[in-house]
Amino acid sequence: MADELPRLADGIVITGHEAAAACPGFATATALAEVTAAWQGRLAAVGETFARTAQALASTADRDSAADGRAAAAFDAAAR
Amino acid sequence: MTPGTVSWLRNLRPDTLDAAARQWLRLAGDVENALGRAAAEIAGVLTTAVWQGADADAAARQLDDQETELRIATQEAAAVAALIGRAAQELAAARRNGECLLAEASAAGLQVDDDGTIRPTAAAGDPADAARLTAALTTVLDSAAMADRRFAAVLRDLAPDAVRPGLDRWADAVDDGTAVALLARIDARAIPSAASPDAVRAWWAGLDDGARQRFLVGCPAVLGKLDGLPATVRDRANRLLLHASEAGLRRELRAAETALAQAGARNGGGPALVSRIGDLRRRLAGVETLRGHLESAAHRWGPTYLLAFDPDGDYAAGGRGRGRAVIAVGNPDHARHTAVFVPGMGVGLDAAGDELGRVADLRAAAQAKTGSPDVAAVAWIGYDTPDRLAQALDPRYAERAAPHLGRFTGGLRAAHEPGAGHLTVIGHSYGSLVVGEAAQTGSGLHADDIVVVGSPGVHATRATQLGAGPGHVWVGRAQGDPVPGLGAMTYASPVTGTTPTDPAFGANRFTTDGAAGHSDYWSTARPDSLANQAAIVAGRYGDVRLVSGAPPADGKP
Repeated sequence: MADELPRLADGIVITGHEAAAACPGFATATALAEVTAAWQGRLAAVGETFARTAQALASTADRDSAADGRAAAAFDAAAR
Repeated sequence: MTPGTVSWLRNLRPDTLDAAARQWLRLAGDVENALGRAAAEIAGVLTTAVWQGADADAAARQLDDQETELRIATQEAAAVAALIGRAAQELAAARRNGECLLAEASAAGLQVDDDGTIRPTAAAGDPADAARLTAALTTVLDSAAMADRRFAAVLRDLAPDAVRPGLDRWADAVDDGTAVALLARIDARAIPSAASPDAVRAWWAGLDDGARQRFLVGCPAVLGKLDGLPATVRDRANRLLLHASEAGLRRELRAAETALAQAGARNGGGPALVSRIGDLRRRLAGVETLRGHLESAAHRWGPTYLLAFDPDGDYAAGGRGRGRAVIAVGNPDHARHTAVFVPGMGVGLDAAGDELGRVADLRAAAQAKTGSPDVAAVAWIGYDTPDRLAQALDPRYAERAAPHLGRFTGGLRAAHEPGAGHLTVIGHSYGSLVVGEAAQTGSGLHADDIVVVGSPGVHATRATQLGAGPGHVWVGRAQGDPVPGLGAMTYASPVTGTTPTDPAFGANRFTTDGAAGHSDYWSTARPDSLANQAAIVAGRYGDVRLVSGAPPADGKP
């Protein structure tokens, strides 16, 4: 999940650049490129947060004496 | 390149904007899928794990935050897709119109300047034609430039805003959707709101993904309560409305409290303002309670679906009551067995937790009967319940609710796949009257089994009037529950005085051992009544312990 989320932006980044290059002077294409860049950052940030959360959860679940082993394993998987 | 010029418009490549729109649509789907996976693979583990305590709660909260982020991202990506798609269409149309005018000018031997002025040359051309074409081309160029600026402005508003707190971002998503709907001409009138659930299902099935996302962006309030749509669609629309409603109520409350503080400094405030603040607090508390229960329900019981939501009143008929919500634990579209629970008097958003707990316990018991997770249970807090006993003597609450309950269960039938599932409708107390009315109104309840408990009556003399088939109407009455007795004076048959508990009514009466009073029918500590209802929901009729009557002869749910 952490790796996957930033990659979801690949398609919009490519087409955003193509539209901006193909439609010079169009405010819509320019705005699209700006919004796309912001979204690239957004998805990367969500991915990082997800990874941090999952890592924290995995280590907490591992430590927690009442933890179910399946929880730790799932969070470990998410962190990867 | 100067906007609004001929060379500017000719430079447009609408296909590139179209391609971008498709990618944004795909992104919306990918993020939604990621959300589903996060829920299933991560949060789902919390549901089944025995991990409890502060750390587990903190884990759940963190996952909620990320789920929120992904839900908002899905909605906003779909909004960008809708906007870009519409921009491509409008600008492409402007370009086509411009090209037509330029071709006409060329054929007439006229000269075209980049600013759109068209003039005769020394050799050819009619000045009158030139003037007409100039006016037309200038209009096209100006309109295109204006549309381009408009689309760009709204698009920039859709950039992610990490600064705003969570709830304001939900409200933003709704506001953005409204702006996009206006600009992208997403028309709620195109939604067949008055059509039958089957027709709604067919309409939705016939839409492409782009059209579906556009309606979800622009018309969540219409889709959220549209019977016949998939549960996942209604849930997405209603959660958006729920969070935006909470943000809106908080904003209104802050404004009212500020106004009261200012007025108070001058003249002691005003009763109207105080009353308004009380009303806002009450409504906000209901919405907060529902949101909290939905969040914790997902961690306790797995996927939960908000199938209808109205913060003010009867979701189907309008009004300003205690708030309405329809919540499913488990997905009723794919469940083999689904139970719909209709509560009695005095239930609104503030009581959603109790009703959710009941249906979750019922679902768990039914799952235990079938040995499969393939069961969904729905709390239908979807009508304006009577608040006081005196109001409960008024059948009009049930009469108003009946067509909406029938339409809702018809929607469950329509949206179910593959094929038909087994549907049980359970009415408690005044809710049983609603069930009885619904079963005898319009096309009925569409239920395979009907259960009434603590029932004052169902406005019917015989169980067969409820349309569920011989042996498929069930009744429970706990020891010391006074309501069925009171019902004999109110909602029983006016001629015979028959209530559902009477043998003459013809329902199967199941045991409720250990249950006492009017609200003990789903007790897990005294589980006889719960187990009997679970057996009915699961279609295990042979497991139902009966006081009187007999299981359905066909033995099939």
